Amino acid sequence: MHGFLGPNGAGKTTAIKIILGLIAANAGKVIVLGERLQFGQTQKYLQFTNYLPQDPVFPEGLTGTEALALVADIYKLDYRNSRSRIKRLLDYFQLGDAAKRKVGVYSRGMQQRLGIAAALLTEPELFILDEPVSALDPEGRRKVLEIITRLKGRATVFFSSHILADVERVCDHVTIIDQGRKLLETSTDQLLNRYAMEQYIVAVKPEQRKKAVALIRKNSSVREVTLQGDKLLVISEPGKAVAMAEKLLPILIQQGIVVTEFMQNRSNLEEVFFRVLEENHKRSQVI
Amino acid sequence: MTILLLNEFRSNWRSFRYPAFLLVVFFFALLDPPMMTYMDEILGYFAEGMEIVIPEPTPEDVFASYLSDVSQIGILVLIFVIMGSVAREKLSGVAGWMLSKPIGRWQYLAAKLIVHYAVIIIGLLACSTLAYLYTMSLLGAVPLVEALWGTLALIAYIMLIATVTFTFSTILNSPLQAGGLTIGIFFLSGILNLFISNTAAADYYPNTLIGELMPLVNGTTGPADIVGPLTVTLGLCLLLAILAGARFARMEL
Repeated sequence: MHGFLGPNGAGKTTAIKIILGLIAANAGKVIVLGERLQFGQTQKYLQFTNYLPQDPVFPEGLTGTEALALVADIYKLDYRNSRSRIKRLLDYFQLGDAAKRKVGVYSRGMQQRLGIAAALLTEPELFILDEPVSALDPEGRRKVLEIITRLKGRATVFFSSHILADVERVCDHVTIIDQGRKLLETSTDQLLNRYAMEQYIVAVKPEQRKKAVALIRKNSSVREVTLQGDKLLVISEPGKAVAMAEKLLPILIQQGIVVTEFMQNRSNLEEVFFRVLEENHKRSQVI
Repeated sequence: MTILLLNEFRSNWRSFRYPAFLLVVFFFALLDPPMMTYMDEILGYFAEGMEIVIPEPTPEDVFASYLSDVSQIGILVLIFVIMGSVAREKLSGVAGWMLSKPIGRWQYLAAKLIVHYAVIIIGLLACSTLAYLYTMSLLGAVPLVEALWGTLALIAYIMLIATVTFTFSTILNSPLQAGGLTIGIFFLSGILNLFISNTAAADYYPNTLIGELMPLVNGTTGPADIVGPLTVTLGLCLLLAILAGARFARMEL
C-alpha cells in the first residue's frame, strides 16, 4: 500500500500517466512489475494493472453494466464469472438501481464508485488509484478505504491522495513529491517516528516559561520553540533529536526550572507532510 | 479487437452519430427518385398557369442525382460525425482510460477507422440498393454494373474524406478544428478540380471520382477510366491512416 503525496501541481497525476505509458518522461526510467516502460509501445504489464483516474470516464453511451462488461472483456475475464461479479460490485457500490442507466447521467460520486468497481473487477497485481475517494461522501469513502485495506497482501496499491488521513490509515509506505521531484520515500511508521523523535512537548511552571524558552533556544540542536496551548513544542534540527533531548532536560533542571512534562510529540501524517514541504522550500530558497 | 469494434459501433450508434449519417443518405435514396420523376408536376403546383418544360429524366439521371446529393450533403454530415472520433476522446480522457488497459494504440485507432469504413460501405451499398430499386419501380432499370461502379466510386471518395477527418481528429485536440480543416480541404479540392479537370492530372485526382459519377452510371465512362483516381484515393486513405497512427503512437494523452 503505497501512498503518493504532493501538493496540487506537484506532478502526481503526471507521474501516474508516465507509469501507464500515456505520457513520455523527459528523464529517468520506469520499471513496473519487472518490465521497463518504453513509451509508445504496448506494455505487457497493463494486463496486470488497473488504473482509476481522478475523474473516471467511460466511453459514450454505455450503461453502468456495459461499462464494466467492457472492462471485463478487455481483460479477457471469464464471461459467466465476470457477469456475476459485475452484478455483485454494482450492488455493493449501490449502483444496482442505476445499472441500466447511461453513465453520462450519473453524478460525479456515482461515476467514481463505478470507476472503483471497474478497477476492482479485474483483480490485478497493481492498482493505480489517482485520488480515488475525492468525490465520495463520508460513507462511500469509508467503504472504499475498507476495500483498499482488504487488498493488503493480495495486490500492490499505488494510492495518490490529498486526504492525508486516508493515506495514513491505509498505506504502509509513502512517497512525497513536490515540483516533479521526489522529496522522500519511506515506510509510514518510520516517517511518523522520525518526525515524532524530532518534536518534544515540554511543560514548565507558567511563571518560568519565558526563562525556559530562552534556555531552550540557546541549545544549538534546537530549530524552533513554539507555544502550543500552555506547553512548549520544541523541534530539533534534522538528525539532532537525540542530542537535543539528552542535553535539554538536564540544563532546564540545573537552572531551577520545574519540568512537569517532557515527552516526544507523535505527529500525524498531515503535520509531517507540511514539515517535509516546508523543509524543501527552505532548502530550495537557500540554493 | 472485436470488443473494440463493437464498442466503437455502439458508442457512435447510441450517440446518434451513425444514424444521422445513414438517415441523410436514406433520405436522398428515398426522396430523389420520386422528386426527379415528378418534378414537372411538383413545379406545376407552385407555378400555376405557367408552362414548365423539363426533359423527362432517365433512370440513370435519377440514380446519378442521388449519388451526387450524397457526395455533397452526405459528406458534410459525415465530417461532423467523424471529426470528434479521436479528438473528443482525447479531451474527455476516455482515450487515456482505454489506453491504460491492455490495448495498443494502433489497435485503438484501427478499430475506430474500420468501423467508420464499415458503416460507410454497408450504409451506402444498402441505400444505393434502395435508390436503385425505387428508381426501377418508377422509371425503369439502371444498368446494374454501371450503378454499382458509380456507387463504388462514391464510396471510395467518401472514405477519403472520412480518413482526412479522422487524421485531423487524431492529430489535433479539437473536434471543431478537425471538422473545420476537413471542410476547408473539401471545398478547396472542389475549386482545384475546376482547374485540374481538363488536364492530365485529372487522371489521378480524387475529385475526378465525383465528376465521373454521371458518366459511370450512364455508361459513357468505364471502370478503366477511373483506375488512376481510384488508386490514388485508396492510396491516400492508407497513407493518411498510417500517418495518423504514427503520430498517435507518440502522442501524450
